[in-house]
Amino acid sequence: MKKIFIIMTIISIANTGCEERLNIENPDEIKLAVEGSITDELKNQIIKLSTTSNFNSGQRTPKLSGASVWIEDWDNTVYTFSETVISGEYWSDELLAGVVDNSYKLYIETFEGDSYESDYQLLKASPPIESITFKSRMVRNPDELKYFVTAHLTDPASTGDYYRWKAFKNGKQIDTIADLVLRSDRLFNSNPFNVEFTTFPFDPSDKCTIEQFSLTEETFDFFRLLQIQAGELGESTSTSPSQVEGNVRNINNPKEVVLGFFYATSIQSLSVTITE
Amino acid sequence: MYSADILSKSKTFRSLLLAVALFCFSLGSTHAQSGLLEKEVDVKPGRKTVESILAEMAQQGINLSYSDNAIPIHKLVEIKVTPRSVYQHFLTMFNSERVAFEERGSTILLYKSNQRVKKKITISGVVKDANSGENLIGAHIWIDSLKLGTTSNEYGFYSLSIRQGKHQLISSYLGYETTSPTTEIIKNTRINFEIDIKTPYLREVIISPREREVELSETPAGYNKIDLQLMGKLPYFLGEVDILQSTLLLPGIKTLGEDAIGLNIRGGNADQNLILLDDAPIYNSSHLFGLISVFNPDAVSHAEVFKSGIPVAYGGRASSIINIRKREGNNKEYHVTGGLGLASTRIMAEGPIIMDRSSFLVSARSSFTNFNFFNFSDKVIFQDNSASFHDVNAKFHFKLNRKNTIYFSGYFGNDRNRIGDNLLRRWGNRTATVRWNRQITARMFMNNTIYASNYSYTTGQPNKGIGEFTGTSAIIDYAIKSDFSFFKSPKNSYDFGTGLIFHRLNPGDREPNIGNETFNPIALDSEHAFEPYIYFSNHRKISDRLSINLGLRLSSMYKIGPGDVFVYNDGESKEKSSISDTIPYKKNELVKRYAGIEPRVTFNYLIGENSAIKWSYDRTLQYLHLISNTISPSPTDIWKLSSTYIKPQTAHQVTIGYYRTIKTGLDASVEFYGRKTKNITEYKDGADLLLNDAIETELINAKGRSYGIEFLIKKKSDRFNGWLSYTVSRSERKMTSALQNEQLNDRTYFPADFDRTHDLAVVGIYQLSKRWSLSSNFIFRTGRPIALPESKYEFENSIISNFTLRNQGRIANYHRMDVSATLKTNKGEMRKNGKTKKLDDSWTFSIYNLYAQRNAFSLLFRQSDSNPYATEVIKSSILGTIIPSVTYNFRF
Repeated sequence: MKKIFIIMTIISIANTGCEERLNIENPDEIKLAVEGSITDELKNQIIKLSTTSNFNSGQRTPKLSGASVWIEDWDNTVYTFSETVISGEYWSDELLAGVVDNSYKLYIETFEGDSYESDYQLLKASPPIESITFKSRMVRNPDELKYFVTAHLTDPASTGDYYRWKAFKNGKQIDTIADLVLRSDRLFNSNPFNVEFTTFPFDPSDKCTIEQFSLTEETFDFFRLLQIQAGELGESTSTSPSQVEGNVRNINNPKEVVLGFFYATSIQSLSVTITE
Repeated sequence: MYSADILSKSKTFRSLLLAVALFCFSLGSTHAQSGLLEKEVDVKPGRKTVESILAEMAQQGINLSYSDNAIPIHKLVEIKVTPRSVYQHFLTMFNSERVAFEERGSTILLYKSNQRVKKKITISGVVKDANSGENLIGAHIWIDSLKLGTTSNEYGFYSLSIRQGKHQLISSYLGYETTSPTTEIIKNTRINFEIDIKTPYLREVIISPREREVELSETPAGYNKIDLQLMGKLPYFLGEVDILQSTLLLPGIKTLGEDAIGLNIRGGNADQNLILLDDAPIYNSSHLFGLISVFNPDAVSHAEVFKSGIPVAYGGRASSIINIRKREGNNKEYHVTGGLGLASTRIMAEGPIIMDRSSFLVSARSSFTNFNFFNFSDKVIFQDNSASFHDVNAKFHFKLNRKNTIYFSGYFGNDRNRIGDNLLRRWGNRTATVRWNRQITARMFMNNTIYASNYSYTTGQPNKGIGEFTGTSAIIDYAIKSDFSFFKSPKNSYDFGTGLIFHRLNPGDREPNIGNETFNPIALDSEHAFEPYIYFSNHRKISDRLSINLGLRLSSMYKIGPGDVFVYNDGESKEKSSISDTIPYKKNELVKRYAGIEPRVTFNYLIGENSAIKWSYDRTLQYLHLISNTISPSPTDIWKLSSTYIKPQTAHQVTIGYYRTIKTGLDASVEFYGRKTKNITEYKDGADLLLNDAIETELINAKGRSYGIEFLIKKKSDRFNGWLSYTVSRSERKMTSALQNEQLNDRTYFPADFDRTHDLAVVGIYQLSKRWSLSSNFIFRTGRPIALPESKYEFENSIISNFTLRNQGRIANYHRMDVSATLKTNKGEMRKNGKTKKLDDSWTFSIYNLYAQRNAFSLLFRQSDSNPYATEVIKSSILGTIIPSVTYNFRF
């Protein structure tokens, strides 16, 4: 009679990555990348212009200097921007706050004379963040007690509301494109809802600030696709990579690919200090 | 050994007869039968008496022995055709007379008989495993002297029309002893063959001429039978024996990677394979994200893959058929079989309900542990991710009488996967089949089947007390079908039948749990359709060299309401914003109808005794679409019916192959194939497929083409079995839309996600001694295509990789070697006096990925931690290390 004994074998399945060297040639053409928004906060609004660069380069991507930049609203009011000491960074000449329900359009004229424009971008209202709560949980590697925050708000009755949240720890933004927090109201329209920030651990006495941005469907789709490219590729549950085309185009050559996005948004913000 | 009309006999007697039969067989092969009856004689035409004809035969050297009063010698007979064989003349002379004739030595004996002479008589019956009494599918029956034979159909039934006389009936089945009793057959007779499983290491391998003949002249191009006995010695990951994983060692069958769900056969998508378990389709064949298939190997009796030459009885998928039949259960003895491995524990019980007439089989399998190994991102992991599975098989059969048998078969599978605190998913297939087999006449066989198949999943959130929501989706089929086989003659047989499938799809519901005030319930309209079909095929042996199979299948799909169909502005890409109207359809109102003809033809031509050329053409239609834009399908993807905007997938395939038996036990083949597929679903970038009621706005129509060469060399001998399979192929996709935002790669062909140029597998199984067997396999595959970034740019201080063209680069080649050794614990004779030892158990030691190759599954492009403005490329792998395991198997 055989004795049945327990089989113990350690299954060690290593999944940690190791770095590979890939030789990727210089791209054939340099593409313009636009990053800019107009918010309803009174401030110098910022438009950043840069270009693509070789994938293997360890440098920042080249900035586009010397362009003329302005924004026009639905009533044809023009707001001009000027390049600052930071190359490729254009600030509005005056303190400026976008207005809810107005629309804004970006114009860029490069030093070489190429003209670009965006679509009109609607500035949608954003409901207030009602409260922020936090609770602690053990995390692994190393085992520590960390605090995670939840924002509470109520979605307005209208359908098609889209949100993005940024998280700040002691004034420093901690979310990146790869872990953007985005929601559509499709699943909870007109209801109170919670946003859990499960990937941002806090410690006691940290000051946590949550900023909430209202988005249009188009802007939401752009951020969602951008997030996939930055953080969700390469697993069997991933989609295929894709180029994220933005909403800015060359007026004379609409086929030219322009990356990045210009959007209008309303910001709501609330802070809380973590306590034990 | 055979028994006419199931005579239950003792094993000893059977063994004795077997020995006699084998002796006869060896005699038969050395002293070929004289074939006096087949000898041609030249009888002068005209109206003459039997006596004078017999005299003319005698003059031409035919020794005849008869007494004048035993046969009608004065009967007048009209001789028209000459020369003819003695047998043909006898049929003319003695038609409907009470006469019998047989060869005895060099003389033909004619004598009085109770039976009247008939031109053709039919033997029919089943071929069974002598020990378990289970029917064997694809066993061969062969009469060497007549050069005639047949193969048992997928219910184990055979029918063979032959002339009267004494015949040596050879029956053989892969891995079983060959039997060859000689018997006199004078009327339509039911003969059931019972053959014994071959004891390894004891006897020379006899490959019956029929087996080779069938493989060359009848098996269609692109067909692979899965040898379960051999596969059973090929442990895979964690010592599991897996039917679908072992098909990957055959040419033309690929997968995306180690944890990818689904097979890609000859360039087809994972949703294009019809995977049948006892006639019922399985919509997700994977446990554990593709690591293990849903089929418990203990419970399977037959598995086959049609990559081309698909019988017209099957349809509804564009690429291939994988047909799996469960065992019926032993109807003579009770047995318990089981195993304990690192991945799963298995237990199966089987036995007779009524001896020799009815049996049951019940099996259960469960994952041994909660797996926890799918984290290769370096994000902080807060909670465990885990996965587990279990499945249950049950089958009963009742032999009502000699001609009617009823089967009940069921499957229940369940997978559970938890991702931290955020998501809990469960999914599984359930099937139920009731089958009624009836032999209508000696040459006509009928099978009626009713089945139901259900694949469903639920998603929710674990550990939340009152979880926030529950999402469900399901695809349910109810079907009824009748299949008929008519064996007109050994050279001419017909298959025909009809069926009706009712599909009910629930693309997605999302219900907030009680107490949850956040979520609104969402329920997408369920979809309904009828899929009726009818088919007819004729298999004909035109000459000794040429066999053809002409088949035609007519299929259609009627999608019915209730449901809304959106109307989109013409000439624009379909977007929610371009909806111009909504057409509501009432319950049972016809929404959309598709129909098509599916001609399928195979030609097999024998060049010599040992080689053949085969050609086949297949057209296939598919009315179901798996909606999945991830690299590998997910268990929570949904299926959609063809509809107003989703056209049926249509494929054409041509295969041509050359097959050669180099010497006994060594076979080689090479096959070329080309396939074109229309209406493949592809997806817009960032497509939102979750609970989307206008899913057509996220889809792009694509077409595909694939072509390749497949080599297979098989070596079968007593101690060593193995094969080498090698495929060179290409599989591509192209978007068909002219609209700017529905294009990829500039509307040129680009490699499909699973395209692999080279695919090599070498498999060897060696019986070292009575107790030890060893096996090893080596795999090499070209790395799969991926998109490489063209450049990078910055957005909000993050580095974004800019991808322009899809699938223009490739990850590194994949290669891996596995080894295993199996030790049978029984020390002495495995069988003594025909009795099996009570406990038959074995240990299998296996090592997956012997040399710990870190094969890349994918490449991740991301911002470097050390320099935020630099990018790094990270290779991710799934099973990138050596994985040893031990499995214990037993049977008593």
